[in-house]
Amino acid sequence: MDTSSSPEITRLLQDWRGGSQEALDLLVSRVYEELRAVAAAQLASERPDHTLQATGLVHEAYVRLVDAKIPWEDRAHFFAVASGTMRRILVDHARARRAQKRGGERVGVTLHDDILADGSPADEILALDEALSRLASVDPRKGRTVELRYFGGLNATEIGDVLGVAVATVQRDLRMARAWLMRELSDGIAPDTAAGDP
Amino acid sequence: MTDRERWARVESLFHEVVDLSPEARKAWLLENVPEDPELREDVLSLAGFAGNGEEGPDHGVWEGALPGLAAVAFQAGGLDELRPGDRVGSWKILREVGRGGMGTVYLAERSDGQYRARAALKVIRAGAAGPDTVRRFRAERQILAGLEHPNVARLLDGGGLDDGRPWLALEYVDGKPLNQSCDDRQLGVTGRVALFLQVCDAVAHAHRKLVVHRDVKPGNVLVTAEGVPKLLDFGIAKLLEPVEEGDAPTETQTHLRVMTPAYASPEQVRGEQVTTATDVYALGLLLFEILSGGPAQRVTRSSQAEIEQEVCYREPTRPSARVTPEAASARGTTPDRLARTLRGDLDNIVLTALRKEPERRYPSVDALAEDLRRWREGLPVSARRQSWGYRAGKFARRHALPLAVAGVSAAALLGAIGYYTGQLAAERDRARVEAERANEVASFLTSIFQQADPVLSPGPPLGARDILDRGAERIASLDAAPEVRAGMLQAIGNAYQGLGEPAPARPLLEEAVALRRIQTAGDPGSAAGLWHALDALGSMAWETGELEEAERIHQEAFQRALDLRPPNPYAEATSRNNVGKVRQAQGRHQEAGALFSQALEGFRASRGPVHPSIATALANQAQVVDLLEGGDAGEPLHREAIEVTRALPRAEQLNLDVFLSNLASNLMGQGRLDEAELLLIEAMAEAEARYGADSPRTVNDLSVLARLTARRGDATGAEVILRRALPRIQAWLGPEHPDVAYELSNLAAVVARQGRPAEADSLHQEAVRLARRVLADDNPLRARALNEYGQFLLQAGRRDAAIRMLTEALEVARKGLPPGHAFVEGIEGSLRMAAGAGGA
Repeated sequence: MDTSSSPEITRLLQDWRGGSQEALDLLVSRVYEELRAVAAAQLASERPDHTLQATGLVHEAYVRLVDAKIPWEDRAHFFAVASGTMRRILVDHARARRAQKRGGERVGVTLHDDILADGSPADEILALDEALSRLASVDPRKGRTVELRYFGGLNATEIGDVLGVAVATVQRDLRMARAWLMRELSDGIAPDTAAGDP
Repeated sequence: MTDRERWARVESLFHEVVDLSPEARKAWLLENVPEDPELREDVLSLAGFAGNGEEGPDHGVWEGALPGLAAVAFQAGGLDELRPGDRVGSWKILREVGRGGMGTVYLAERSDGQYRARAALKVIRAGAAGPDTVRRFRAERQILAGLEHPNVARLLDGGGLDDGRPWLALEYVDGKPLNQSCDDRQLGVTGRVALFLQVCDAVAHAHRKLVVHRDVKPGNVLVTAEGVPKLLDFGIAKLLEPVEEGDAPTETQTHLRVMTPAYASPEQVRGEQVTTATDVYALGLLLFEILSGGPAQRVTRSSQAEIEQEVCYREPTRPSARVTPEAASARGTTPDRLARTLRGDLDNIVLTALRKEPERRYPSVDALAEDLRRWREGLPVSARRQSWGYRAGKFARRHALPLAVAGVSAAALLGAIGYYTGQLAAERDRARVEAERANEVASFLTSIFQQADPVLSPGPPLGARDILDRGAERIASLDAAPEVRAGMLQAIGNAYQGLGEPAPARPLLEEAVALRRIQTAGDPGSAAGLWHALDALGSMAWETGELEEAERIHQEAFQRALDLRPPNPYAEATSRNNVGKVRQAQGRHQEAGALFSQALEGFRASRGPVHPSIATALANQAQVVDLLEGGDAGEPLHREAIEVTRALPRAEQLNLDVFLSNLASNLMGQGRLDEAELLLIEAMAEAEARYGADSPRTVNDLSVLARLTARRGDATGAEVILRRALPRIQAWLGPEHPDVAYELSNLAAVVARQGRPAEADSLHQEAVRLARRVLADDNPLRARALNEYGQFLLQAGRRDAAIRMLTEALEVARKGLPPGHAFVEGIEGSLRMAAGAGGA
């Protein structure tokens, strides 16, 4: 991406902050394209020990898309968009892979099948996505917090600035949201519950 | 309570109890929320999942599985993965079998019902392929698909997906990488060499079809369960190369260009031309590894500078010096025995393949394989320790060159090239199409050199070398018919040789030969072109002192000349002549003489009594006779060569100066110094007129003249000449050229003769310093410089210094020359004299 795109992105960000939904849609599609391009470019120069991280990609897409001199809040907003986009990408992919499993023959060995016991990372992503959506419906702020942290890789300070809350709040939000998600995604037995009835 | 309200309550309770112990939590909740067991349970279980608070939001645990998941999502075009059942061309995807640096690999089977076939279907990932890769794929696929060899995984099919990503279907090979397979089976050195030879066969086969692998490494050689090695991914690296439009490569581009740094060759790392020699190097790396157990090149970090340092500059250690106990046991032997087996010949073979300069490696994979076979049969191998930095130019007499283009104007260059291409047309079939091709070659070359003409194309003046470099570059990107390319390559290659720079000529001439082979395979009537290319390559090898190779090539050329239909006695005679030159350089003068004689007959029969080739054969014969018989036996031959040459049109008298010079040497040998001097002056005038005052041919004559003058006792005169010659040698060859040391020694000698010992001493020291610096420690020329100084010191009465110098000279001479050689014995004699002079 050349830098001539960055004033446009900045403008979209500002419009979005000003409340324009259309700006958000455009932003998302630009970011999506950019993330794919970044991933492809990173893979092109992949060295044997290179590992991709979702959060690294988001940062890289930011650098490429946006002028670094834009106001700090806009940067955070960019990440908010990018995180959500990243989540969408992963979920789309997971769905496709799950369909694959049901479709033709058994999918062969891939590099990351050891992530989960049942052997499919796609299932975990989808479960996470679903649980996260449920969390967001009860507590939107926690939902966005998790998205920014997990998919965008922002730290507590940055999250606080995006959402307009104190760092301590962010930390407490994350702690509870994580506990809740873990419970949702596990089989329900807590690791450190005392024996006996509550 | 609404959901939200309840949630808020859970949250506040959660934060109250989360840092308490599980028992304390229960107690607290019972106390503070007595009315709602469900709520208590909810909070309790949540707190149970909260961990101990140390896992805060910035803790690594958040990174958890997500990077892996993201990698899965983005990996190798995973977003657009193929699924089992998908159809690609006439193939059906069965399942994914792996992911590599290039993309994803699937197992696929043929789906058009015609026959059962399985393939490894590779989809090249989006980032790796350029926009027009699919188009280039189609063009190259024909060539790759034509690679049929039991040790090559065949390219079966290929195409492009809808989204533009290219795919290839390769013969599915179920096997282990070569080094792993050898280790698993505990193969010894002999067994490994046997497997390796099969790999060499595969690569050599591809080279004959003009395909360079470019990415040979253990992972690309799979050994099946039956023990058959199969080479994968031929030429694919080239298909994936981004096409650069002449810009200087940036750092990133270099990364992209080099598929696997640890198995890259110096020319790949530097972004230079990749040729068959590159595969030789890679095979050398492979051999190194399967023999010694470790990689030859260790590239730990991937910064450009480090890769360059390791690959382009660091000399590899001998395989025998890298043996470890683990490696030995994986080869079913002990470290001691393994080192002993590898030491010597196998070491040298590997290191020869791993020379940094492409032209100093084995000239072909076949040559490498041949040497290994010789090793296997206990025969002497051709690989040698790297020694001479300077080839035996000085010890060989000057020979006749078809072209000499040093320091001439572009117009003269054109004239010379025109002569050459005229020859091309004359010697090949007279079919019109051949003549047309010769014209194409000529006009291409003309266009190149016109660029150098300051009138036609203003700009900084180009040296002849620059012109040729440009020409070579142009050819690389020219889209010409193979035969035309071959002709152009030969012309430029010969021109390089004429400049005295055979090294750049090598890849061009080799390519010309390869192209001609292809042409001949398809059209046996065009074999004459192949002969010509072989002849040129052989002559180049001769010039660089690679006598065995020259012999091999000229022998093949000779055989082909004999097989030409219609018969071509001129070609036969030329090859005889050239083999004769090889014999001469090998010191087999009798055989050389016989060959020159036969060649002469052939030339006379095919070209009549007056032709440059006749003069050449006569001059060669004369040299042999000079050496074997001495005296005046060769004189008539020399004179006849000159006569024949003078009968030619002026433009074709290209070697008159050489013949005059040779006659002068002969007369010097007879003691007829005055006549010799006259001839030398005439030779110099001729060379200057034809090739320019600064041409190396003139300089050589100066050197001879100086020697002659010195022999006449005219040290002063000799000094004058040498002082004239030296700066020109330095300018022409560079101040660090060994010839400079040679002439410095000569100058020192004549200065000493005139009674200026201090000056002589410093000149000798300069010569010795230079010789030590630029010549290897087994080069006889170095010994000569040391010896000359030693002799001077001896005569000056400086006995101790003389002994030291002569001892050093002897050491060097013994290393480089066979025992009993006259030079060695001469120094030994001097040393005895020096020791004896001390008395008692």
